[in-house]
Amino acid sequence: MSTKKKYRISKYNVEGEQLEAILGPLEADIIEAIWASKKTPVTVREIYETLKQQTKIAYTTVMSTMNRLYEKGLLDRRIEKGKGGLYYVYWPKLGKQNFKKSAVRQVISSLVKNFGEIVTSCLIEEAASNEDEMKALREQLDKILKEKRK
Amino acid sequence: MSPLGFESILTQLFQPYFYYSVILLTISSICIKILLRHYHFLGRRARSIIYLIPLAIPVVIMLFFHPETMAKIIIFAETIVESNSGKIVYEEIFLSTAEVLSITGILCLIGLTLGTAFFVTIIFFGDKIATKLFHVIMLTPDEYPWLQKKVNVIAQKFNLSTPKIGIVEDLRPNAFAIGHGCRAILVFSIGLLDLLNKDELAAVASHELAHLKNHDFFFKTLSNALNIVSFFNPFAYITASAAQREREMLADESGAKLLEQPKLLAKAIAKICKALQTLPKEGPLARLTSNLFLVSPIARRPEILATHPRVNQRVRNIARLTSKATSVHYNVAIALALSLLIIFGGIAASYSLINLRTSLMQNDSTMISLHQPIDKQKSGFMLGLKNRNILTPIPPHAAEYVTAPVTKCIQVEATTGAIMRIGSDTLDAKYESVGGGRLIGLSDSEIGEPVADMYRHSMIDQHPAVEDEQFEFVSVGKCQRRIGNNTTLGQKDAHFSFFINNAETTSANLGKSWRMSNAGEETQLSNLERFPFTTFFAQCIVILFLPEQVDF
Repeated sequence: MSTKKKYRISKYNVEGEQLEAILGPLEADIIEAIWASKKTPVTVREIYETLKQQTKIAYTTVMSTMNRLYEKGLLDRRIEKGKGGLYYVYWPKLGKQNFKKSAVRQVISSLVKNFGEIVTSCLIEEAASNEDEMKALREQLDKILKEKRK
Repeated sequence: MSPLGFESILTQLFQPYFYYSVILLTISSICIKILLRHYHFLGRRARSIIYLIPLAIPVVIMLFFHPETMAKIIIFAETIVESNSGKIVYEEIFLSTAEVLSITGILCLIGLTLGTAFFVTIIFFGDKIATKLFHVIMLTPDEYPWLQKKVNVIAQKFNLSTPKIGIVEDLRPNAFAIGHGCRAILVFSIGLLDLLNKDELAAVASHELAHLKNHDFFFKTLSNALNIVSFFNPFAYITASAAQREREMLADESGAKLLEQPKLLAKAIAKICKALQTLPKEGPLARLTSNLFLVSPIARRPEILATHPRVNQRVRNIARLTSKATSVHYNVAIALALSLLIIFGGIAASYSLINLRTSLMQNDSTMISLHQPIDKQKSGFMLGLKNRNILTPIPPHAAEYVTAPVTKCIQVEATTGAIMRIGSDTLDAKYESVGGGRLIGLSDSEIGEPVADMYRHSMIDQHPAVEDEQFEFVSVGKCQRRIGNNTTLGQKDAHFSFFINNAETTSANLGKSWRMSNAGEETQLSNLERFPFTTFFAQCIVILFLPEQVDF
């Protein structure tokens, strides 16, 4: 039942906060709840029970959203046999940090591909506004250059 | 005799609450099963209710004969008394009573308690338990609005208030209805919602609403509770399953009638069954609650124990609703003849089996009859049989006159006019006459047991002693010789003699004396505890086929 499909970002929402920039609001809530869950893998009902405490939500909505996340390649799932019957259990393909890194990389490479140097200079300018960030950026650049010379 | 000995087990099996409930349930189940096979004209509702009758019988029986945790048993052993001529003429009976744990009584009590507890719990809390157990999630008005609308329409057609609708995560396609009235819940599995189209789902909803309309939740709970009462009887399971199958058929019929296309229900059921076959085997919860579902989640189960009819039967049954031609040609004459045969056969079988028990129970008037020619070899055999009180309950007075320290006694019963003399050479032997038999203490032993040591003991009310007529049995009665714990009975030389003079018999018996050969207590008990299977079964056959007691 597991899929090898890799998650590809299809849209980037500049107004969205955090994960909502790349995912729908409900999708973001659900994947956050799955990462926060102590138990892995999780069932739809468990996530539904968690989210129900925070907001008014329907079970079927959670179910279809988790199904969508699975189809997008963010989640993996398998059928598990329990006392009550058969049900899907889901788990995230990537950890929170790895997922963010992969998403940012996808966004930046798309930007670079489309806008070239402007992106890099924008990034440098963005980093230059903070001294500490500038220092870290310089160190990282030196390191990359050294490796290339070798 | 140990409490687990054959005789003890037999005693327990013949306790009236157990014996009658098992026998009558079994016979009536078989009769009703055969009867309903040929009574096609009866509606599903009537058939299902008829199936409940055998299941209800044990409850009625136990109202009359209350099950008890302890059972009184009479402990027997016997030895052969030889006459002076060496012929086997009499069996000595060692008698005492004991209270043993009644396994059958405990089984019945467990069944009654569990059955009642199950019924009360499920009727009052069934919906809550099922919701928790299956993790039912109630639908909000925004979820599956079309399904909620359909259910509402069908419920109105059935004249029912719209039930709540819930879903379960289960990927197996199935549905069930639970609760009653305003607490009713209709539950669909995710697997079912994925598998069926909207019309098929409406057909399934129609079937489930038909269950609510027919009060099947109550019916199934009742039949399961009655099944639990007789959980030790396999026929209870068969009959309860048959009743539930009829109820499924009834729900199919009532549900399909309300649909524009009744065949949709058949199609949905077939589709679900096919899908279920491809999925992994059912879990333990599904097995235990299989009777709840639209389609039995249990893939393999013998048909007689299945809570749901076979799919092809259900499909045929639904198809029959739409076909105008009646497929069943029913021959009334044959059916009537068959039912009469079965009813009378059932009554006859029940009567014989009840009679068997009664006949095998000890009857006061069928003790040893000394007016029978006692020196014939066969009389010993007959005496043995007649005194085998293996089939308790013991006579009410037995417990009173058989007291704990008494280990051995000889019981003799004689008819009116018999005169009896008993003598013994053991010092501490006590004599006792019970009933109308009046003993005369005339010892011929060397030691000379004093006459004064013998005492009359009238405990059997129906045979009062008559003071004036000494030495004679004035009515049918019996007398016993009891020997206490300190007796020297184990010794080989211990013996006793008794003399019987019966006016009705020939004078040959007069003054005849027997000497008991005693081979020691330990040996006797181990040898004689063996149950005489052949004689027991011979007696059973005799009682079954001959109306009157026969002398051998």
